[in-house]
Amino acid sequence: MTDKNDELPEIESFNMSELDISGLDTRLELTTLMPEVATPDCGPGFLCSCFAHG
Amino acid sequence: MTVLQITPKPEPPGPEPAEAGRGCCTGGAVCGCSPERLEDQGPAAAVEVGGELRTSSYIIYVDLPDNDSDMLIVHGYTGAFDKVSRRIATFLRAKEDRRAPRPLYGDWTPSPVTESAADLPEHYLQVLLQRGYLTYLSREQELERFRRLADEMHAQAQSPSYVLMPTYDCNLRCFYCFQDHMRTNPSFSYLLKRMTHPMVDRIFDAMPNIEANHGISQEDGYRRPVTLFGGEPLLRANRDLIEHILRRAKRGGTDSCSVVTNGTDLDAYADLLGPAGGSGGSASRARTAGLAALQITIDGIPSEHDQRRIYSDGQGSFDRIARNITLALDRDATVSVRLNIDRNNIGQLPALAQIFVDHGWDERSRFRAYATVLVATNDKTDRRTTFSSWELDQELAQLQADYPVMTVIEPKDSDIRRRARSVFGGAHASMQTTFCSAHSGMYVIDRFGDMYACWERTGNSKTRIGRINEDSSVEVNEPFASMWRGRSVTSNPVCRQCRYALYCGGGCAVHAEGRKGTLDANYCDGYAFRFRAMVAEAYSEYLSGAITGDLRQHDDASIAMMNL
Repeated sequence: MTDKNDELPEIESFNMSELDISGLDTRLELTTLMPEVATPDCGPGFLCSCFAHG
Repeated sequence: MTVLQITPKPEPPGPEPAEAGRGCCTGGAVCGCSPERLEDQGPAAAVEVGGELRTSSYIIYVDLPDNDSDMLIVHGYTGAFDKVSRRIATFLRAKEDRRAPRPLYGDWTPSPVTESAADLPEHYLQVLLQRGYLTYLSREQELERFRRLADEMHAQAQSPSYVLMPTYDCNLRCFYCFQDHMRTNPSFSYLLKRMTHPMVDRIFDAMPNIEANHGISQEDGYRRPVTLFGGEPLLRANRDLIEHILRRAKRGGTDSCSVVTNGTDLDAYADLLGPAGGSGGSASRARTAGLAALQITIDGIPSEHDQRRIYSDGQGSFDRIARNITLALDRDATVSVRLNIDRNNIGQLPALAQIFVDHGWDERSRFRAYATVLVATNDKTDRRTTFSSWELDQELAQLQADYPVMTVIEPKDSDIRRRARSVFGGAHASMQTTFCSAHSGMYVIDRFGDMYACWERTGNSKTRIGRINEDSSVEVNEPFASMWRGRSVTSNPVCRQCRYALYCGGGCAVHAEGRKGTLDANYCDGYAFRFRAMVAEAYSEYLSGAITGDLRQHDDASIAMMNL
């Protein structure tokens, strides 16, 4: 799954090989590259360190 | 070949000036981040450096155990994950305008190599620029970019979810419970009554109003997440009430509900366990949502657990809970077992893991057990016996190395590892602008119709974020609603300068308040250490071939299952 480039043996990219923010300065341009936000819902499955209760 | 011009770029629109005097985390040795303040960098760092090539302020350097030649670098807001040579990592470090964190396993070279950009081939510089590791933005400009981006992301993460508290009462008297006072101090006895059916109806009738406030129309087919919490929601005496809640949930389009339960009376709910259409089998079941995902706590081997999770008459609860976990798994419910660990019960974990195996739970795909720190919330818990999250991670890693059976118990931070695994499988990094949904769309609603943002701050109507009126209209308590919903990684100066912020989410607000007296502060809890350790571990799995396309799908499915 990595983006290996024979010309760049010292960098191996694991994700978002298309990423190029070098020319982006505005909020909207940048957010088009972003994944969805994954805020955990409290409850089973969220491995939190909330206070324990009985 | 394109030649990279290392010359100033045109200035982007000017940012607001950075807040002078606001600094990074004060943790330093605790969390491993860089606690410098902008003004502490000296006059050179305080002036505009826009137009000059510099290293992004949001790079996380993940060193790898037993590997002196490579490092992983992770970008804090682009989500890029890359492996680079130490030469490149050192180059980036040398161009940092604040001190880079100390490596977790190895060490930096004694003094940074101050390579100029000309010393690195331009195609490397190009890639580092594209992926955000190098930038022409000044530190202040990049901070402004981070703030805008995070605020935009935060605005996207506002879907409502509901936590209903049928009662504050409980049949157990665990010494560490943060609600202990409700059951032991008579002045709180008014809290212990059960929610009424009319209140359930009032709450569900109010949900469309709440959703409208989030821009969700009833024609959108929004699938409402509904969780039950208490007290103990599934007391035997609550059976009729819970069935009514599940009926109303089903009418609203929710097929599966989650519940945080102590599991002692679960047998009274056998026919309601499992996802909708599961093996419940009763005639009424078609009209109710299912109790599909359960969190149940076990605190050690039976003799230890029975000292901690104890009935008011002194009886233990282990055997009953264990029977009910098997029952729930047989009904296709997902069971997430939480283990509250301190220095007194950690040594029992291998024996407890063996008990899980003996019950055959480890072979159930819907079973999961995780260890987390016991937090002292009252004077019945000795703080000297508690772990920090990072300490617990280290203890668990050692136990897992010594006892193969311990793989059945995950560290709390296995979610960091799981997310990193997905990245090594090619996925985008998963980010969050808040620690949990208390700061986005969670509504915790009690038997009085009072709404809270967080279940750890319930039972005091003066601090509610709103209430549901008799006509199901929703009344917002603006000061508290704003305080809770406004907390994100940009709302305090520490988090918005932190390279880990969009992975950590700023930490638990209640813990932050306990530490710093305000919700709107960072709570680091060793996150910098924990993140790097888990990412390095996931990378090690990747190298061993354990991460394949199949595993990535499995992890995605696992996450989806747990987020029912």
